[in-house]
Amino acid sequence: MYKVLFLILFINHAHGFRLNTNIGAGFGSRKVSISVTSNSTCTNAGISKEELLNIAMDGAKKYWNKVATADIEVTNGGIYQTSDSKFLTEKLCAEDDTTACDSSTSVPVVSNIVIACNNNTTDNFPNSQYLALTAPVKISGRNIKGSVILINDSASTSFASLSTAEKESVLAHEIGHALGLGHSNKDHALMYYLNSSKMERLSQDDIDGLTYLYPTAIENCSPLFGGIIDKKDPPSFNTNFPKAFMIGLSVCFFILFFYKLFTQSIKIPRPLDPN
Amino acid sequence: MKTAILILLLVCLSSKVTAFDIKSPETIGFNFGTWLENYAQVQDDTNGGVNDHFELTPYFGINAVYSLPYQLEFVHETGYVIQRTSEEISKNLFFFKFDLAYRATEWVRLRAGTSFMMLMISADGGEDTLRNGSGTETYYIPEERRTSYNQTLDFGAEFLYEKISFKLQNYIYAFTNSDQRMTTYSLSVNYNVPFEELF
Repeated sequence: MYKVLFLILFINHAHGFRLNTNIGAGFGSRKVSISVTSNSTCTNAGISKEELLNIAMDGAKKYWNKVATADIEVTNGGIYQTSDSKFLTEKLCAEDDTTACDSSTSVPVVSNIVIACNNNTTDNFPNSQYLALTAPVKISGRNIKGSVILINDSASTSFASLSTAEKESVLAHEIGHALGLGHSNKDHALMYYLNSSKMERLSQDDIDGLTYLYPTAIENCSPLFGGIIDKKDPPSFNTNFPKAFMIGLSVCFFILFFYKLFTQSIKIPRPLDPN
Repeated sequence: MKTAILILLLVCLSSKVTAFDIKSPETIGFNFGTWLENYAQVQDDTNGGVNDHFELTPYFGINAVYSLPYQLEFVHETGYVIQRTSEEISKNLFFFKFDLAYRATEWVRLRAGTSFMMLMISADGGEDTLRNGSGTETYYIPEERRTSYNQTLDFGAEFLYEKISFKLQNYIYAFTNSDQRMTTYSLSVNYNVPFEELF
């Protein structure tokens, strides 16, 4: 009986997200832009850079920008002007405080999230089934400074054969990696390793992962309205007021509650009547 | 932060000299129910299905009801959604709720208000090897507790029968932002005791 009750109570709580880094690194700012390099022709992937950016933004808006409990917004950074061919041919290397990458043979370090079409089949795409590859290219302390998403643009890429909806979920999955999430073992999660054509929305597991990486801080959140406040525009009296009011009221209620409980449960004896 | 502390102090002081100090709550309620997080709004299977099935995620709370004029009541509730642990990750949710209630009939109480949510997600760290393409990759389990604070707009109805009541409540996150708006529901059974009987 107890086993049955236990199963009823604790069955199917699907949250098993994992992270890209052992320090739980995420972007330090609350707005992260996505750009596509200007030299990405994406010939084999069968997509223009403008189309790639639009699909990536559609994916970001459809999935990651919808999480009310997470304080992060992915924005459109436009075309990233560069003539550096290493974006298109070199391997993706993740650099942090302890690991340095060889800048002459690696994809360049960037800020925010940058997408490029890459045809390196030696290091990045040894298999045509690999659709894309993502890594934070620069981590400083607990902050991701920049991430790169590489689309498989090799001659045998499968990316070109995907439907627009599939491309959208693939890019959204890669944006999840760029933001700091690892794979999930839940087969219905966006961060599951397999691409699904029926990925309509985030799973609770994805939401929990993003909330963990980008929790809404008490001094920064925009209560009730769920929007993002830019760091340059610090919270004002109005945004602090509802939180402070509720915490204050709650604390006061409990103080008064226990005060009443204490004073009413202890009967203070009256002094004896002298008459 | 200074402003927040100042407001907190002001609220404390103001409540001390107004109704709260001179009036006891009419009833104290003990709640037990289920918490339906983002019900029917998140993907729950590989075919695009959503989490629209009933799932028992237990929560409990305590509330105090204060009578106001014109069949109105003020309800303060504090609750805890029992820790949910899966794949080494734990979620804890505390909420502080403030409702204005209208006693439509002797057995119906309609409620509207707001909640302050503290969602804590934590784990003890470690590594996990998961599939990645045709091979595997090492990913990391969170190694600390992080808390997300949110405010919700709430509506609910409570059906009372003697000391027992049943309550259906919703909690709307990001009410004014149509992109982010999500709704969580709770269903609970409450045992309400007059304050004088309790002490």
